[in-house]
Amino acid sequence: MRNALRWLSASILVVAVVVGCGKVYKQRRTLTEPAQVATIDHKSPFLKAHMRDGGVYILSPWSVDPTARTVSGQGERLDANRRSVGTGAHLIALDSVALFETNVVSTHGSVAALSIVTGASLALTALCLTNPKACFGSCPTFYVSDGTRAVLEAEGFSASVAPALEATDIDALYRARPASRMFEVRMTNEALETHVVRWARVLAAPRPDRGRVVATQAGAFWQASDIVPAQRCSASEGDCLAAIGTIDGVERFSTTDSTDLAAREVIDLEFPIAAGDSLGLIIGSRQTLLSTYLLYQAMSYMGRSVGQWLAALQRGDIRVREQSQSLGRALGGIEVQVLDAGGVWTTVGQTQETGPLASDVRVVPLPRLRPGTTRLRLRLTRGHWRIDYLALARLSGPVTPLRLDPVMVRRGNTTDAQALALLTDSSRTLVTLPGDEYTLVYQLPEDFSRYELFLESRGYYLEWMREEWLAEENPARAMMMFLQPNEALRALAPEFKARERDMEAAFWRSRYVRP
Amino acid sequence: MSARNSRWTAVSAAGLVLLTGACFHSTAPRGWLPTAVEAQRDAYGGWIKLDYAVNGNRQALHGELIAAAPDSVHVLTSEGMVAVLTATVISGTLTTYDANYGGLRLWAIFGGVSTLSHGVGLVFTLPLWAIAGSTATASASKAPRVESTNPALLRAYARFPQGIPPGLDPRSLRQKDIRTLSRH
Repeated sequence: MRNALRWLSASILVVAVVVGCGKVYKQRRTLTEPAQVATIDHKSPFLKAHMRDGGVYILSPWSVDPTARTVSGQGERLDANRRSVGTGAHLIALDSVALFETNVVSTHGSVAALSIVTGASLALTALCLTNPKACFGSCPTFYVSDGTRAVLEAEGFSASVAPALEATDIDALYRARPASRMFEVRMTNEALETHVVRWARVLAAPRPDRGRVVATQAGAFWQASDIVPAQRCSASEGDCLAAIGTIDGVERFSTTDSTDLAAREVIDLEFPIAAGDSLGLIIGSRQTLLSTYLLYQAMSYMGRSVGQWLAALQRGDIRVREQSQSLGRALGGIEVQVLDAGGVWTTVGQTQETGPLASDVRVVPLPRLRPGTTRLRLRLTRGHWRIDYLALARLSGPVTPLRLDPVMVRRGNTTDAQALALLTDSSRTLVTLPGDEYTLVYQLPEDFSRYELFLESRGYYLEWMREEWLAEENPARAMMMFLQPNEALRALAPEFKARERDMEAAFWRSRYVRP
Repeated sequence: MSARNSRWTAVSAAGLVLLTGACFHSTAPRGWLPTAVEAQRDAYGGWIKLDYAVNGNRQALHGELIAAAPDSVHVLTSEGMVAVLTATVISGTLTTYDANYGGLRLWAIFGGVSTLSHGVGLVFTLPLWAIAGSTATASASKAPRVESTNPALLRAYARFPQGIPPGLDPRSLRQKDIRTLSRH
């Protein structure tokens, strides 16, 4: 239905363009004295020669002979009352002419302006017609200042796509640089979703000297020092060291396998020293759009039955809950591997933060490594992860962060006491809709610059079912995605592969709200 | 969609309707003005509305601009030719051709309607159409308009840009008969 509307409106718009753009002109009229006939505008298809007696010749084609001091052409002579008094070829002496009149007609500039708007409008229609699953989607997005500008630093509870999947998510605000104790976090709803936020707290953990605090997948916080970058990074494409040295948005990523979306790859890392106790690998990463695509594809296949599925989740159906996580398990996280005594790469931990928008920084604690160990390996699904940062650190001890509720909430320049009350009462929730934006203000400890900041958000979100997705309703395929995820990932590989190259750009272009 | 966005969309939709109607309309009889293309070979003057003062009373007349001399403006009304002293003219609005912007207005309105296919994205594209459509339509509608009391600017669009021909009997002038006009 929605696609039909799009085709209809595109067609109507094209017809309107044809009707509208061809007939809107502007006119440039010029009067020329006979003595200045050499300057007359020859672009004018008609020449009017106004005679002293009030009559006028209207000639087309026409020409001027400056030597003979005449104008000639085919046309009509009209008297002062504009009655025709002669048609055919005319030769007129310049001396008998009072004034020449020329008119040049051209397309009005408004046509060009509307053409540009039409092009943009049709492009948006075409984008949604051809690739509806590339339309922007996200969970709540959180922006903080890095000292110079607002940066997208966290996306809350990305995997919580239903009330039954409500979860707490911790994101490192690794680039945050608060300017004062009053620390502001901007929370936005930028997609076609309903966000239900139970809380959004800032966690402040004291940093060690010349160190940072990092969180594990399990939500433990560790003080980290002696942070050293890798000295070698190699993957299937070759050297990847330049991409993973700092958190700068320059990321290492690959593309998916064309036959199996779950196909794995490895990244080999080498550090100056990796042996010893209490080490951890710090990983800054986010997902590619593969997981987003698969979520939308699953909703497409479920079609009208998506409501039943959500209801089953809500009833606490364990089987459905397991099924809902099967694709995520098949794709896996970023596994960290070390060589065991037998020379086999063995997984010792992993990180798996859901979401394609903001890189999160996590640490994977390592077991005691044998003397002489300098190499680590990452094993991950091809085309599933974007890695911005990798570093080895010594984990000097666990730390318990302060949990800070917001002390003020603003919408625009207005204080929103009701939103503050909802966010500070864990029995209630703040519901946001597309375009909503809140500034959450937290009061940090006095020596705020010595604290590492994290965002702890809890809630869930409801993806809006989009009508164009219903066109692909296919219960059998939906079942395959949940019950046989590995087969589904092979079946979907060609289609995803065909869209993969342009998906990231299309995704960000189609963002509903731009911060 | 938030209440704020809903309001913004509604205001834009209303704006689109209202602003595409905020165009210049000539007082010329329907069918009297030639189109820009026809005006290239049309030998009549433009349609003028003159406001002028007589003994402190404001008066207005409408008709074909016959001539605009430095001291007087000659207008052929339905009651014959009237000469108005330039010094008494308060305002003059001359329409030189039919802007024919109906198609453009239709384009803008359909463009606005087509944003229904953008889903909630229309909160951006509908205002864009409202602004661009109304601006373009208003601009096109005003393109053939000359607002001036300066005879030097008006005379190019008079039936006799050279001035009233010597010996012309003003009573002999006939109005354009729009029933017999040939639309090429």
